[in-house]
Amino acid sequence: MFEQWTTQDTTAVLLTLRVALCCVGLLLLPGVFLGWLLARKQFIGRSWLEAAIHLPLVLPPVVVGYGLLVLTGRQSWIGSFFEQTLGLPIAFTWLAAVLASSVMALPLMVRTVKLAIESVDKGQEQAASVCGASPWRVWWTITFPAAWPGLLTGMILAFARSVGEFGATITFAGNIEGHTRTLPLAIFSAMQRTDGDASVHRLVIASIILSLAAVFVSEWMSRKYRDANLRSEHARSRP
Amino acid sequence: MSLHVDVQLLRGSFELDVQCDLSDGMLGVYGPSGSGKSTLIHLLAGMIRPTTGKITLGGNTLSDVKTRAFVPPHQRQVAVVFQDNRLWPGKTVRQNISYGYKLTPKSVRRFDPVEIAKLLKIDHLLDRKAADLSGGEQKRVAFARAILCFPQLLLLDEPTAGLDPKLIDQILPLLKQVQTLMRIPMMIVSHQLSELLSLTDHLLLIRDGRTIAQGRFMELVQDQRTFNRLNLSEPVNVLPLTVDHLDQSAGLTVMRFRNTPSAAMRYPVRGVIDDAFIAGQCVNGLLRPSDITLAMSPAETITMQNRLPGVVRQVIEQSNRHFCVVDMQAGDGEASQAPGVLVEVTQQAISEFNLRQGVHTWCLFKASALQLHADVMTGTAADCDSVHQQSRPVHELPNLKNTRCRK
Repeated sequence: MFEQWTTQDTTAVLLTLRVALCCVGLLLLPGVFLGWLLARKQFIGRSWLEAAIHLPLVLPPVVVGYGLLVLTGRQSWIGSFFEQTLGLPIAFTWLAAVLASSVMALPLMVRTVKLAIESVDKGQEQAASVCGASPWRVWWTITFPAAWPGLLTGMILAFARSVGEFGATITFAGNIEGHTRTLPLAIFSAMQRTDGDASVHRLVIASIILSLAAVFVSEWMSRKYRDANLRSEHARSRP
Repeated sequence: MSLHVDVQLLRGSFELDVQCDLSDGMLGVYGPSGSGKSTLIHLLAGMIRPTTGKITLGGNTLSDVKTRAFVPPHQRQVAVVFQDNRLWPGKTVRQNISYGYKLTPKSVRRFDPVEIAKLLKIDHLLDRKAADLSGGEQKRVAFARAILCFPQLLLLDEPTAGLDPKLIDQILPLLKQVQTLMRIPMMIVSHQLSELLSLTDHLLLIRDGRTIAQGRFMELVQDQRTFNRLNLSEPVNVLPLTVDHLDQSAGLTVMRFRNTPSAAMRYPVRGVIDDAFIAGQCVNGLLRPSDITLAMSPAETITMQNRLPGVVRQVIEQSNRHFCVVDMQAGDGEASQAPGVLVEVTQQAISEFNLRQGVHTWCLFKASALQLHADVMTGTAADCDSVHQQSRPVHELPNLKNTRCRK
C-alpha cells in the first residue's frame, strides 16, 4: 500500500507535524501561565476568563474558525496590521492553521495545567517561601518539578488536538494543498475523490502512527518522574 | 530582637484580634482548637495579609495596613515549623534542610547543615527521601530546615501534634536546645498547657480569635479573667530536676532540684524507676495540682515517697476552686529554694488547717504521680550542666510586658 505514497502525502504529514509543534510551542507559555493563574490566584473576572478560555471547547469549531477570520482577516485591524506592517498575512496561510488549532487546544492545555498545579500542595510552596525563596524560585524548585508530568500531558493533549483539528482550520485557513491541507483535511479531500480510497487508508495509518508516537514520547519523558511520584504516593498512604 | 503584634483579621464570620509582645525567649501560645492560633502563625509569616494592624520585628515593619507596608514571606526572615511539617517528599533530607541555607547570605550563616543534622540526630538520613521518613524523623528534619534558614523569629505550630509520647519526649528538649543555640524569639503554639509549661512559663492566651492575656503562668492563675481559661487539671507543675541516682532495689529514680548541689540535698524527689534515665540527666517532673497533699508534719507513716517542706506563698480562690502556691524547700539554706508549685485544696482544708501566707507545710505526693520527661536530648552530666548554664534561669527569661487584655 505504501508503494503509492505520494509527495502530497509527505507534504500533508510534514505540514501537520509543523503546525502541531508550532501550536504546542505557541501555547506553552500562555497555557502554563493561564493554568497557574487559574489554579493559584484569586482576582476579579476570574470566572469570566475561565469561561472565555473554555469557550472553544463548547462552540462548534466552524464558529471558532469564523470568529478568527473576522478578527484577523484582511478587513480587520489586526489582519491589516500583520499584512501591511509585518508583511505576514494570516488568514488562509499555514500560520492560520497554527492559530486555529492553538485556540482549539488552549482549553485542553489550560485545564490540564491547572489541575496539575492544583494538585501540588500549596503548603509546600508556602514552606519554600518562608525559607526565603522568591515566588519565581518557588515555581522552579517546588511547583514545576511536582507539576511537570501534568504539564507534559497538557502539551501532548494540545499536540493531539492540533493534529486532529478540522473545522476551525478549514474555515479559517482553508484547504490549500501544500499550505494549509493538514492530515484531516487531506483525508477529507481524498474521500471526496472517487479514486481516493487508497490515499485515505495511507493517511489514516499515518495519523495513527503520528498520534501513537506522541503518546510514546510523553510516556518516555515522564518515566523518570514516575518513581518519584510513586514514592510520594507511598508516603501519603502511610499512617 | 523584639516582636510587636497588633493585628486584626476578618474572614467570613471568623474574626482574629491579637496583641502580643515578645522581646526574647519563648512565648507559648495557648488556646483551644479553632481559636486562631495557626492563623496567627500564618499572619506573622506573611502567608495572610491582616485586615488592619501592624507587625514589627526588631524595628522592621513587617506589615502595616495603614502605610500599606507589607514584607512578603520570603523577605521576612521568619521561619515556621508547620504542624504537618510540609517537607518536600521528592527531595532528600539534605536537599530539604539546605534549601533555606543556600538562600542565606554567607555572612548570616552560623551553622553548617551537617552540624545541625548531627545535633538533631538526622545525619544518617541525609540521603534518604523525605517521604521515606517516620513521623519523628520528619519533625526533626522540619526543625533543621527552619534553623538553617537563620530566622529572626521562629514559629512552631503544634510541634508535638500527631507524635507519640516517646517522640514528644525527644522533641521538647530539642526545642530548648534550639532556643539555646539560636537565641532568637520563638513562638510555640499548643493546646496542651503542660507541654508549653515544660518549655516556658510565658503564655499568650487566645480564645475565639481574641487575645485574653499575656503573662507568666503564675500571674495568669491569679487573674480572675484568665483563671478559667487554664486547664489546671493538667500536670501544670513543672519541677526542674536532675537525676541523682537510680535505686534499683527500691524501684525509684532519685532526683534533686537542678539548682541544688548534690551535697545540699536533704529532701530528694523520688519518681518511679525508668531505665531510660541515667545519673546526672536533666529531667522535668510534671505534677498535677490535685496530686499534691499538704500536711502539717512529714507524715512518715504513709507510703507517699515524696515529702518536701514548703511555705505557703499565697492562697488563690477562684470559681469555687482553691489553690495554694507553695514554695518548696529542697534542702537547707537560701540556695536550695525550689520553684513554687500549685496545690489544689478544698475550702474545708483551708479553714481546718488555717492555710494562709507564711504557713509552714509539707508537700506530699506519690512517686507514681510524678511524670518524668527527659529535658535534654543527650543525658550525660556534662551535657546537663552545659545546657543548664547556657539557658538562663526562668526568672531571667523574656522581658515581657505584663498581662494585657482587650475587652
